[in-house]
Amino acid sequence: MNTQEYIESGILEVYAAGGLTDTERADVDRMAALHPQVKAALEEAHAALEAYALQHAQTPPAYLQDRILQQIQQLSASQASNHQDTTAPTQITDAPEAKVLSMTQAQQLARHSRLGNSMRAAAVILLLISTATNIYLFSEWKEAEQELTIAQQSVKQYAYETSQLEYRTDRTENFLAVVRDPETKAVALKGTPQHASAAAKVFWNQQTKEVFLDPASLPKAPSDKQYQLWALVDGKPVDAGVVASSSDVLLRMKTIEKAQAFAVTLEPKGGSVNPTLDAMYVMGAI
Amino acid sequence: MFLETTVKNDSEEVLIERLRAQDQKAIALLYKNYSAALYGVILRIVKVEEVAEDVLQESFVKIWYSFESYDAQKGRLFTWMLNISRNLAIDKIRSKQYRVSSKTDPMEEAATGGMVSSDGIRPDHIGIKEITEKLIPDQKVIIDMMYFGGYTQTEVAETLNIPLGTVKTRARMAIKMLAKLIK
Repeated sequence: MNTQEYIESGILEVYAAGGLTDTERADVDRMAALHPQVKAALEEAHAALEAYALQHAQTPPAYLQDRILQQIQQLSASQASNHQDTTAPTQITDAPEAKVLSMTQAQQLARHSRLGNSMRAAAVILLLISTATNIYLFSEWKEAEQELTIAQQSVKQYAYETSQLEYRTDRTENFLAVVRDPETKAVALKGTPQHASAAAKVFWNQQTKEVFLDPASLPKAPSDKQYQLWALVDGKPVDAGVVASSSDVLLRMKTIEKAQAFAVTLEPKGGSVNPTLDAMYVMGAI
Repeated sequence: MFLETTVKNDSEEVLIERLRAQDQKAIALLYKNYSAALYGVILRIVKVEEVAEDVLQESFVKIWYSFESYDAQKGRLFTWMLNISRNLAIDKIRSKQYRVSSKTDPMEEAATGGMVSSDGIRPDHIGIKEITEKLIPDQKVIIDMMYFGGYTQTEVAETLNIPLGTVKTRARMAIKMLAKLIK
């Protein structure tokens, strides 16, 4: 758009009539600064608008002149004396001037307290904003902390589960190792007539003489009692160890050099020196 | 009144000098010369005399206190004062209590004024009074909405439902005519 087109677009007239936004006005100001023609046209538009404004001229009520001029006088008087205060603060004055000084001081004080009030208001607002922000951040932090705790707990849970799995795997591997060993002899212990449904298995390594008991099919022992494994050696029962309560794993028992049979009895906690024969649950001959 | 308010350039320069020096008699002179022009515009904008008085007072206080910021290179003193008064008045009507009542007025003018066709109008043959009254109502309303209503050109286009280009063209035509009248 050339200068002439720009002038003829009517934007300068809209400017003069006050119809432009700040940004638009700045654009026109730039154009006017660059092109004298634009500047001249803009001035013309302003002049025309002023003429139009003058057509609406209306004399304000007479009392308004005094009111306005008095206000300006008072304002500049207080401004001037404030100025005086700051330039000559140590000046010692006689009584009437002191009175003036104190008045201006009062005005200053009033002004300061106005300033103070708005400062206080601003401080209160800032405090409120700060408090609100703190509450918000605190709750955010609490939430994050909770989430972290949950995450930590699940990590622990996973670790526990993993260790459990490892434990079970170990157990199974050990079991398999014992069972698969060619030197291992499996002895099935069958329920006695009183406990026909009970059963157990002994795995006895002929080379190492290690004895393992699988108590899985024994009934649950009462809390004050424990099962005890016996090896029958030449007709005499030999203690082969007690079964830890509610144990369902393959248990390593005492090493037995020689035996013809194995039996399990229910004994008081800690086991007995001699088996309680009428509390025999299972038995199996080799 | 026109002669009083249209201050000659040399006396305006002197007045500016005195205002710069914070000469309080200068403000009285300023009031004498310009108060009617400013008050008329303010009243046209705010429409309530009491409010117009307050705005005129605020305007003179502002003129007095921000006189340092007046730059004679950028425009005439009257233009500057008129801007201050207009802005204060428009701020007033844009505050809550004025918004509702004032905004409807330019619309009423638009409705009645818009009836007159601008075709066949020969400005050269019509007197000043007639021109301001009926010559260019669809152009005049645009100037009035912006100048006395505080509308932006975009708001005018939206309110009157005309293209932005038309707003500019009509504003230009209206002002061209006004320029002719003051020569």
